[in-house]
Amino acid sequence: MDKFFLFLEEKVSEPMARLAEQRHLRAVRDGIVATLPIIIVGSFILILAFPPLPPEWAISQWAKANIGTILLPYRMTMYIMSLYAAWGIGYSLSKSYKLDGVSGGNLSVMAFLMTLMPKIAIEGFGLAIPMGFLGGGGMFVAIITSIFAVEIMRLVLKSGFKITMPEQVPSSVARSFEALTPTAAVVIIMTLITIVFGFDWHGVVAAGLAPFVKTSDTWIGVMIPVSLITLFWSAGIHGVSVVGSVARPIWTILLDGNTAAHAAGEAMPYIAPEPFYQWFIWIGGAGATIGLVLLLAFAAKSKYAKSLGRTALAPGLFNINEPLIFGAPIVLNPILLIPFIIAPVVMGTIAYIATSLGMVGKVFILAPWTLPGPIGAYIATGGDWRAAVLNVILIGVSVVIYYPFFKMYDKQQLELETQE
Amino acid sequence: MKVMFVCAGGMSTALTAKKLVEVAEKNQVEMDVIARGTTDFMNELQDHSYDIVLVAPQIRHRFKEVQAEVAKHENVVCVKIPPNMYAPMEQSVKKLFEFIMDALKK
Repeated sequence: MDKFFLFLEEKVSEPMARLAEQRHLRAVRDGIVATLPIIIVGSFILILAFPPLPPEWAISQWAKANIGTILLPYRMTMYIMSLYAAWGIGYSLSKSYKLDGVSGGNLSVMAFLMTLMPKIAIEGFGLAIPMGFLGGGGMFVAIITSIFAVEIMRLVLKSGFKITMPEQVPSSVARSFEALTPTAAVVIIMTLITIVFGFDWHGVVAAGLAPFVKTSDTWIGVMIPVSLITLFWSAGIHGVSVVGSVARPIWTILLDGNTAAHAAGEAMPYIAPEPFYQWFIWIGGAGATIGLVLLLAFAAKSKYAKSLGRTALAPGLFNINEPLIFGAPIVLNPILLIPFIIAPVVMGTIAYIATSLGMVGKVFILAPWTLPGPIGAYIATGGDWRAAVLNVILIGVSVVIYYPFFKMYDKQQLELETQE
Repeated sequence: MKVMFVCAGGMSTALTAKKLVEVAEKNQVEMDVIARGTTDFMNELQDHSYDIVLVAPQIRHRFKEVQAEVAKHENVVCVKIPPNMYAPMEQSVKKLFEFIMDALKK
């Protein structure tokens, strides 16, 4: 057993963790994470636009009549999230190279916008940028062009081809002069690619990405990240922060697909954007530990298990489970690791079936992850009470799965205590 | 004494941090403990002077990155929290308290 854990730590989690710490992946992760407040607030506007109330109520009628106006703040925030992400990715990546972050962010936004050459002119308004490509659908283009822009900036500056100001010039002015040559390089290259060669960035990337997006919405596509995350936590490493940096761009595309479809009044296409994991699988934290924490707090006989349960209960209700993971501990604990890995798989399968059969609504709102389960599930589905019920049922499933292992653990603790 | 905890978001360490202040008080040590996430701890380091920075076990794969940031400031100790001392319970935090006192002596 010990050998197995050593293997897990050295051969699996360390290389994966190192991959997640890779400079570009980290910049992508930090850039997308920085857009979360915009996505959360933006998606809440959809609740206002589609209030979870009977359609005959006055407020529902009012929302229906004014939907275009109500949705405008959403259109300027979540709807164009890749534009914000582009800046964040460029900023983080150039910072990691110890280059000027603001220049890197600006260059990235510029490169991203240059993939969208406006072709339509509207009388009285001038040229129009197709906003649809600035949303989640354009996320990978934003990632590619941001990395590209910062790498060009780094190469140009490294080659020494830059305008250096005398020392008396204030540093902010000097920096903007320094960014002149990289900016020119990015503009020239992007113009060549998009205008001269007429490369269809968004069409090509979407075609290349389609199989990944499709797979990540299948049952297997849900089970792989879920199991990887619990595997990481088994060795005590923050699974979501590692796996999420690879999977989040795709989850974001799925979420944006649902949100945009809902805003347009169409049927939502995807089952498993990130809120699906949050509210139907990671209840109580990764490993769906809500069942364990409830058992420890209310059914434990040993002193240690009881006091751990009481300490971990409040954070657990808000989906924070580090006290439990390191307190029990679940990490490297052959008894508790079994339900820790099984429960999310079973719960995810139930939720996947329930959602694909239409027994609960699809998720399309990103609610803060620290909300208690049923409330979060209710909000994430735009006010579907059946989702809250499913969440409560899944909590029951977690209790049942953890129960036999909790019994063994409690008995072990009790024996230790009587020995003392 | 000023202590900083670093974890993924700064939320789970806040619990352990609170417990640590209590344990330190019992031992007549005045400890000022703050919890931060990996994205904003460097600003905090720049604004205030700390004696020790503790890295939570679930982000130990990012220890080197944190350590490099901390090294920019003089006389700040940077250590990983052993997993068995991380739970916000009296038993484990007592061990953590002694661990910190030891680390600062060196």
